[in-house]
Amino acid sequence: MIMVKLFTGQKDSLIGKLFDDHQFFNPVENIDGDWFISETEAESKEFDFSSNERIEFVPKEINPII
Amino acid sequence: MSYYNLISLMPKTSAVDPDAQAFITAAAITDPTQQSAINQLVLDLKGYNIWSKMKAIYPFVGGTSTTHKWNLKDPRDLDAAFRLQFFGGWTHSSNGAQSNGSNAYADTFYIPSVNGLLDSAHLSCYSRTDLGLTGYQVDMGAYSGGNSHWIMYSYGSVASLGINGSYFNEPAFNPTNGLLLGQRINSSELNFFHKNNKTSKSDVSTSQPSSKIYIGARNDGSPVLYSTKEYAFASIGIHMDDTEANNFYNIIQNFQTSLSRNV
Repeated sequence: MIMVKLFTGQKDSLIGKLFDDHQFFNPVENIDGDWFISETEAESKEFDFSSNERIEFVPKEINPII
Repeated sequence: MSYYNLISLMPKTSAVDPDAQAFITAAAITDPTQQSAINQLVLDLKGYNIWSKMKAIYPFVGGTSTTHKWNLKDPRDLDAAFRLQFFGGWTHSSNGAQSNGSNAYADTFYIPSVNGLLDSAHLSCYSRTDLGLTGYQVDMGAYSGGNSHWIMYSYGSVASLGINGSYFNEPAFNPTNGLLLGQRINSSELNFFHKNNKTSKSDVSTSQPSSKIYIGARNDGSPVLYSTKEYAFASIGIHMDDTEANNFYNIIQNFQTSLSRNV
């Protein structure tokens, strides 16, 4: 899935913030330790993500109980 | 024209259940078809003695995050009312709320160890997405301290399931759409209904998770195993007997049909 790669330090500025009237940002970490948000979140009028790279997101490997 | 003739010409309105009206007002549902569907859902749940089994009911009606967040059972805009809080890239439409499989989940604020009962519990969801046996996703739930409280349609060819106990693997529920109901009905037995087909399992209850239930992922302290499915209903509460579960299936199917989004 194509997601929006965050710049260094950008992730912490989004935690606990709304990207629209009712939905919160949820940055997630990829396999390389970089942080991403969805393109839906990047449509936020409060923040400018126009310079952020859009690339395929490969999630960080975790091994939850299944 | 006589007074009686005037009265007989006045438009007749059906009485709306007060709980349905409270939800319609809170969620600002203005579409008459949606209003009627919500009212009938409440009437049916009450008529079949299921309403009292519910702690949270999420009809996902109205098409936006603003309307989808409300708990039909308690439509206050409070965490204590188990009003949903959405995170990440959900897509909201008249068909429900679709998670993105990467970072979208909804926090119900319902904690099994605080808000639920050990030996009587249910989770349900209505997925409109058939992934076949390729999905590796949890649809709703929580896991903490070795205690499970989650449901899923499939993790590949299996479904890992548990309510207030450990977890175990069953054959996947395929297709991964329609109503899925998972229950603990007493201290030693679980059952699951997928599209009204029942599976029973012996399992001793242990303890309840102390984490909040998420929809669209499982809460392991943080969300994991994100779903890509589109949800048109979800509920949390105590268990139903087989007759009630059968009636619940028909009620929810009729609800979805009235909104032209049944699968």
